[in-house]
Amino acid sequence: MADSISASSQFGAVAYLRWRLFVNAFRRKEGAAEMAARLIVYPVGLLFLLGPMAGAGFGSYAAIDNQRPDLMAVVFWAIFVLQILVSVNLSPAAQSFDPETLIRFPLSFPRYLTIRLFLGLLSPSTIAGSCSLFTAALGASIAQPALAPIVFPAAFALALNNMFFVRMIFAWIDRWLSTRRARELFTGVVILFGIGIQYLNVTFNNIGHRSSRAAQAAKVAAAGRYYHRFEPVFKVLPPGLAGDAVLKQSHHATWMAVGEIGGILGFAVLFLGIFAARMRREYAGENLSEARVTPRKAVAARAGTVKVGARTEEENHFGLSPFIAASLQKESIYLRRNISQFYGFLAPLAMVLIFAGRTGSFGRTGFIFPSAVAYSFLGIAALAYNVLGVDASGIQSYLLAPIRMRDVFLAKNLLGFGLSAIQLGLVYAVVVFTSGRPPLLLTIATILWLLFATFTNAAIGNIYGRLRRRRRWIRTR
Amino acid sequence: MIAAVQTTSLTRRFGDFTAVRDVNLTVAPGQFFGFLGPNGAGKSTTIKMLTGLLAPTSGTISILGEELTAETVALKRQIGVVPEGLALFGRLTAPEYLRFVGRMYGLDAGTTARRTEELLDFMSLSAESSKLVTDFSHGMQKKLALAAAVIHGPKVLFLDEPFEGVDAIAAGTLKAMLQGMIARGATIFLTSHVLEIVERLCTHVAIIQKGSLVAQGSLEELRAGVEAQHMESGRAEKATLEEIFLNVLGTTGVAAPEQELSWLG
Repeated sequence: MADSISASSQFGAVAYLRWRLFVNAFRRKEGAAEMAARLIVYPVGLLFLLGPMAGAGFGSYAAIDNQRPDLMAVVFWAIFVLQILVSVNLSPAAQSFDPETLIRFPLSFPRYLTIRLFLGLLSPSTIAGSCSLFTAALGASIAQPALAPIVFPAAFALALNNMFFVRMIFAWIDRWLSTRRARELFTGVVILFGIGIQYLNVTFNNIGHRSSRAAQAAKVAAAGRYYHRFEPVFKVLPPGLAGDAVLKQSHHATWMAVGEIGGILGFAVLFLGIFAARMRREYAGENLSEARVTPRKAVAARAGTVKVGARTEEENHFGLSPFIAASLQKESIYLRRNISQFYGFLAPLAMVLIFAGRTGSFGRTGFIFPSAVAYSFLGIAALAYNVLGVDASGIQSYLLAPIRMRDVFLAKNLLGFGLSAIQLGLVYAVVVFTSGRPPLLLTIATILWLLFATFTNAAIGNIYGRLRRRRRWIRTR
Repeated sequence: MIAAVQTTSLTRRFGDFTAVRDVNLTVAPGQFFGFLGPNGAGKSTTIKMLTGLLAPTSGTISILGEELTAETVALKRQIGVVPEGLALFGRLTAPEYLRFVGRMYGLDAGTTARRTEELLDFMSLSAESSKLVTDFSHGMQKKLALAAAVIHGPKVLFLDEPFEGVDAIAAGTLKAMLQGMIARGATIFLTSHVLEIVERLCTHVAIIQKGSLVAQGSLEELRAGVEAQHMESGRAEKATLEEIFLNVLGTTGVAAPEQELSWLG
């Protein structure tokens, strides 16, 4: 009976759904803005795509032409890393609907899995990776046409492998990040990873200091030594196997090259199997979004809430009206529970700590303090333009309560000013610690600039937020 | 006789929390079955499990005599569901959404188009056919979700709060449609907090509290139990479903004097 629904009907339905969701995205009021955004983003995206494609093509051509087929592994590894990085940065934006909602329909598991894989095919990371692999194979084949029968299948196998690998990793990350706390910790890890990369960049490239060609060459040689130390491991992983297949073919060991391609396909099957296992659980109705709060913890959380409420009654309001104090308290609670925002507040400080420590020409000018303050301020400034954003439909509570919106905005602005002041103090401390005390006049000028920028941003943000509120209010009515 | 819906020791746990515990339900074919319970009792979790959207921790489910396992595609074709969150695609129009659903159930293009038109007419949504679903009112979205749940002619229909947020006229339309389905032999399993509607529509009810089933039977059977208590206290009137519900849950529904909110004007 299940077979009586044709695959073309169901696959066609999902393709139709994707298409209509895409077309209808331009129909709403925001559609014009979305169209404009896409008109900008697509050409930029195309440039980003053409860069790696050209790099992979010329790189592999140069490697083969210079009789260095062993370097093909480096090209394949670079494409693999690129695909992972693009996935990390762009995958949430690529989602236009949650494919998990399809499990309520009479869809067999193989079809569900196929749909999940097909949706992955359309992701920017797969497009970028696969196109780059194609040009890599093309470049190598142009340089030495005899490689074509191996390099194209190897690139195809690697494209499949990379796609399954990325899908597998993200499926499992979805599973692990099903709770808010895990997502927040993950955000922290990603930010720390980014900061770590910057630290390595600054340290390894010695930013702020001029370095000789010889020093640069020494660094490249050191990197090469590190690569060779791990080469035995890299060699047995799919990009290494693909590179080795090309190397074997260049030595006319075609059957060994075919064996290496088989190895890549073996990895691809393994990754597909792990991905399928995750999808099978999802298909069977494993609900990841359910909160796993133990009753004891839930009771404790409730008790905590009551305690906070009781304490408020006794608190003085630091000279603020009770309305503003209540709004400010709510904003502080929101900030405390939004660890992403919290990391966003701390990350610029870490970057300042890394960069301010360099005593190069940049630091000697004395402008390190204003530069650091301006950089740190960017994170807080962004918050001002979406002052009502985190409130979502809770905005209606403000509209219904006997409170002036002016007080609500004031509370939000006070929090912003407070954060700016704290950040200013911390940046000053970091700069003094790493580069010495900045000149007094420059310090005063920087503080005055920060005051100006904070007030201006708050004012524009308030007007923008108010206009957005009005639109929302009209829509609600 | 093969039950339309049957569960055995159905249990669902989330970590240490047991949302549904050892539920044994039996719904005969052709029944209009009401599944009641206070907020957070486990009604929606049970419906999700019965429709394959959520895997049970333990226990079995059979629909129309066939066990609902992970891959029972044939069974999914026999059921329709209006889930708790409606699960609509906001950026489609109503005809686009119904066309998508029809194709997912394997209906041919002609049948899908004809049924779409009939359903939109019946639900008074034809005039809104160019609007995106996200711009629909809650009641309109509910009607569309119901239309999508029945477009393939299911034998068992699961409805999670179908009358919530629906105006009186639309509620009348929905009731007429559901009663028509029952008359043609379908089985309907619904949850609702509107006990008057359940009382008017359902022949059988089950009541769940804190994840456990505390009562199940025909309305008459449950009523008889409460009326026996009425007789003891000298009351002769017929028990309402609300009285049955409160009686089963062991509450009067009225706060004790010391719990009253005396500060309310």
